[in-house]
Amino acid sequence: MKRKILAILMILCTLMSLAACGGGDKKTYDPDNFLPNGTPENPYQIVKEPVTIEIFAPHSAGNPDYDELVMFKHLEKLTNLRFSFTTADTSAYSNRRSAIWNDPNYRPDLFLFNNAIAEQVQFMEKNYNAFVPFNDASYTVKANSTLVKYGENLSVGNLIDQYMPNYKAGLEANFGIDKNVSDATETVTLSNGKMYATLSVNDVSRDLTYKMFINQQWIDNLNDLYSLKLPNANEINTIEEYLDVLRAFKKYDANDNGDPNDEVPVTSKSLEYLRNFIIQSYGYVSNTMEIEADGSKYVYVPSTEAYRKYLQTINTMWKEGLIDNTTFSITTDAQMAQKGQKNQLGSFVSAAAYITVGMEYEDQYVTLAPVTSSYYKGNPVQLGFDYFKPDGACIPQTSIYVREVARLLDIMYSDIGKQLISYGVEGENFTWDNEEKTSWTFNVPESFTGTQEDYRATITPNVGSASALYWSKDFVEKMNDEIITELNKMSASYMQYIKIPEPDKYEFTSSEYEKISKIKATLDPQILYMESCFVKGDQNYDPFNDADWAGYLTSLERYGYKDLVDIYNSMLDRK
Amino acid sequence: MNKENTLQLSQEDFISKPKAQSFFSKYKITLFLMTLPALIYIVIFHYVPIGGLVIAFKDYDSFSGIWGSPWTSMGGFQHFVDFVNLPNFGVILKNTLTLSVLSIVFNSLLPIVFALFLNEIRAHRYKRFIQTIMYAPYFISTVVLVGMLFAFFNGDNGIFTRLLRTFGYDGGSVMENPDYFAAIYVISGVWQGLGWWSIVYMGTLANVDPNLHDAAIIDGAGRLRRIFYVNFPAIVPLAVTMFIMSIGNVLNVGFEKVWLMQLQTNLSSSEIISTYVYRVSFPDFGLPQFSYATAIGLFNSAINIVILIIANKISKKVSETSLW
Amino acid sequence: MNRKSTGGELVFDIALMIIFGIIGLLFFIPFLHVIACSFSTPTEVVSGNVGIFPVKFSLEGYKNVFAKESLLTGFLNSLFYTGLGTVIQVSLQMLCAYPLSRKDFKAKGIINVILVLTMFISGGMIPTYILISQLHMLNTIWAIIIPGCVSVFNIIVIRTYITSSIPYELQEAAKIDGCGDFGIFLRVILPLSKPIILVMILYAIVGYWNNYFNALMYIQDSELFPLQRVLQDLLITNSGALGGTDINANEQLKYVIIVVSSIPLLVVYPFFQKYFEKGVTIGGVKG
Repeated sequence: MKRKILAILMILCTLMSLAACGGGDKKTYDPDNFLPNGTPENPYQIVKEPVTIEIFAPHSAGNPDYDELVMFKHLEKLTNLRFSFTTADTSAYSNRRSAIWNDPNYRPDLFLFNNAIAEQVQFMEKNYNAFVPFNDASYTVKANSTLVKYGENLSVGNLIDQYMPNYKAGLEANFGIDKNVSDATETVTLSNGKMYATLSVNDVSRDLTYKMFINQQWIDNLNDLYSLKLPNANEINTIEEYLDVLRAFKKYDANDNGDPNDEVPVTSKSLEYLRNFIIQSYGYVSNTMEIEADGSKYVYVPSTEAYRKYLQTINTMWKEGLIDNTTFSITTDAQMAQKGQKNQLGSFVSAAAYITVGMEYEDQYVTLAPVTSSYYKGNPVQLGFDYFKPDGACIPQTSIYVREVARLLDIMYSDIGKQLISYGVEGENFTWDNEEKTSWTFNVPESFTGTQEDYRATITPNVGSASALYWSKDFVEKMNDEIITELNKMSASYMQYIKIPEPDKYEFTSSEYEKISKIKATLDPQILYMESCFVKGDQNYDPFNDADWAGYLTSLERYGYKDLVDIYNSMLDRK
Repeated sequence: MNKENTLQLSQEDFISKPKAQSFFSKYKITLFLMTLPALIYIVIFHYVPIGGLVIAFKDYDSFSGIWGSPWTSMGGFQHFVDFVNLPNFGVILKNTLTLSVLSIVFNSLLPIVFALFLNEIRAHRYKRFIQTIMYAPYFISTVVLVGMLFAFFNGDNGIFTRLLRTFGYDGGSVMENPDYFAAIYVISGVWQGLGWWSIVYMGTLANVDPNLHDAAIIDGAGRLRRIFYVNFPAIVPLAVTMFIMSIGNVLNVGFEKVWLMQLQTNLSSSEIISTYVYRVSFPDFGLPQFSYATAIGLFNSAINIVILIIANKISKKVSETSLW
Repeated sequence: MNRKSTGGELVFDIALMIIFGIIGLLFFIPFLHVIACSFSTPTEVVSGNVGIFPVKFSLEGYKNVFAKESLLTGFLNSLFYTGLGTVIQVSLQMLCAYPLSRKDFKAKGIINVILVLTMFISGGMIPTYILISQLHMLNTIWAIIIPGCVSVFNIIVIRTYITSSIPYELQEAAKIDGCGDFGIFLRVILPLSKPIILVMILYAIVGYWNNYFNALMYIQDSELFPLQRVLQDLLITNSGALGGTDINANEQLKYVIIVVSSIPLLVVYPFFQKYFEKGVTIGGVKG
């Protein structure tokens, strides 16, 4: 009897202490297994005998597991590597990421996507030797620092020079982007001259900005049926004109279905991007820290007069019922689509019109160029995202497969990599339309029941998370699809107006990042809250009332926005 | 006791290993071993984190670990000072207290009233039936409850929004409005808890000595009077104990429900200490601030304990009921 | 009872019954509405035509509900977590409570203090989080099962039950019959504690099935998400697209999801009613 108790107790205790810590057995490493240049038959092969590369990556809920994705299966075949994934749901990524360093038994060989620059800087300044520098010729893998059993130090040298020809060529050519616009090397190099991450590169115009759509059909309807003289979408040049069009949408039966009250002039997921569209007409593109057009200094946009103009405009829109009154409850495209598919939307922000209104009404909508206003008469500006982000991939120094991973990463910057991350394997998932390879067609199998994006989600991690090491117009924009081609053309025409509020080439110091994090953790939600109050004009927030505005500025100050401005500008002065 | 042991020994003699048995039973090793798993759990998951509170006074980062991280300035109190100096510190504290005090008041008082009157229903089956129905909301999870709230208050087609519209309401989802946040929070809480929290009073009422009632009847007391003069006094000590317990948790407003109900538009009413702790721990932008978050949490617990002690003292004096 | 019904009393009784009937109905209407919506067509739900009865009865929602893979995963995960967690929680609590009920167990006092203190002080969110991550429990099923698996309050309730409902003489008799302490626990205490064990089982099931916090804090891999964490995406942040091309169906499906995810507990609890009423009463009196 007593022995039984002991046994039960032992089991219970071990159960608790076991808690899934499987660590312990070290793998062994054979340096000769690595193929620096592949084999004559297969230049992409990386190892002779398969080894397992542990990859940590963000994953968006609902998408297939990464080991089921065409991209990674194909890469395994090409390289002879095997992948083992640890994924964190995108909504919980920062939570998981911050815990990794608490667990000495878990170190991946590769952090794929989302490597915050703040973390890299912190680790660099504190000399934590967390990540492998990609451009350090003297870097060696210390025999004892890794979780893999290995007898001696392994000199790997400058990874980019030796193992990453595609990436190196990309850096040298600045990935085909004007260096004055954005500088790849400067973006990814930290203050000590080292690169701890590779770049995420994106030069696809339609994904470098957002798109505002407006219903041209409705404008035509109104001009025809009610003899109004509304400007066409491409003739709307000021925010005042835009508002007038919305007012007409509201007042008349723009969709010509017999009900003059079912039209929603404009809707938006929260205020996402609708705010940017309006702020743009007053000369800024964002609602946070933004660099002045001449690059001389940063301003905090919510403290500017332009922002007040924005609030007045959007408050007017709200009061006149031009904005959907469920705007603040809408958080997804699907919710917008409920009205969109009933042809009730006059204007909205979306990745593509068909996502919001369905194929039936898709052709009624055109994109809207940035506008100016009576307050701001300069060049139109449009919010843009940077071509380069220093967050692509990091290799922790505990990995011994540094050379292997470097070669793997390089493939992702090659033609094959560009294809895999976007639309998959040539001949299987897409086919070139002609010899010159000027366009290609995406092959969604007949038997597949979901949408095109659902199918793409079985190929690449790009769907949902929008992550890619190289999202290249060279391939992506050649898709043979009428809607996409039209979207590309319109987006490309807006590139001339692009303004990037916080260029990624500027990095702060670790202590600055800490201060910024602390201020923003409180300030950002507060700004959004006060914005929603101003929009609705309640809680003593009336943007037309000087006392309310003064009170708002005072409270901004208490939340420390001036400290933020100081931190940003002193960083700028150092450069 | 001794006698029993001898008795037992002589019995066990016939079985096996008398020596080991005597050791085990003399020092109650078996009993101790039985408590051990739970004890280990408690020590690891409750006492070790209490030690971890030290990072509230440090600048924790996971590379340096808890002990290796440097102390903060102001004698380690930097994070506390930062929190108290926060511009919305007052708002956060106010929201926390509002939600908590309202919940305590409604969730303590209503079940008492409910139980006192439900107890008067003599149709036994009917009473059971009502009780069964009233328990149901308690078994709904917080996520589902908040999901239901969002659905019912949907600005386009929610049933409650439609109901409000018949009274002339003209607007979007009430969930977005900071003015109604506390009301929605408390009322939905009552919906979930009224039946459940009345159980304990129903149990006590069932044990009230019938002779007291008979005596009251002889004195000519009607039903209402008996409720007030017989039943009500019977449950007062219990109510006071429960009340002190909940006061001790005055700043521990349920994190989950508030977190799930929180929207950018109702932040002025919905930001409470625990949601703020979560926000700074895992921020959307930048670095996690574990030390700062821990300091806020510690601040929270410290106030709780002080309030608990005070409430207990007062209760001891006033009603002679106390926790210790 | 020998109370007599007079005319006034009768009015009072009937009034009470009516009032409580109304309260009960009010409390039940949210359920009726959810059920009605779950059996109506999406168009009717989105147009806001459904009250407490289904409009254009339809079972489409129920046919489609498990087509969403994440929901099914969450459901099965939760079943597993609830099963395993309940076994562990109830055993640990029973094992710990019994010795604390024994007057002759000298360590009782100190153990009691150790346990009860935790009801008033705690490390809080982040120190616990760091601990869990250092134990390598993040993103494992143990992060769902273990944190919160012993409730001191429940231990006290069980202890109270044992001391008040099981005569000590029975234990002594068993001892004389040659039972060791664990034997007494197995052969005397457990069989006689059936009511309280049932209560504890119910608490554990409710606790694990409805647990959301542990998943929010400690689970980041969507494969391991329990039901409640999946529901957060589906019902509240709307981030887990429900799939399907009919936009309205998504709205209606929410009601189906609410029904499906709540039904296990709502079906179970009436059978436990007698027991948990007792359990709560003990907790209230002694806690």
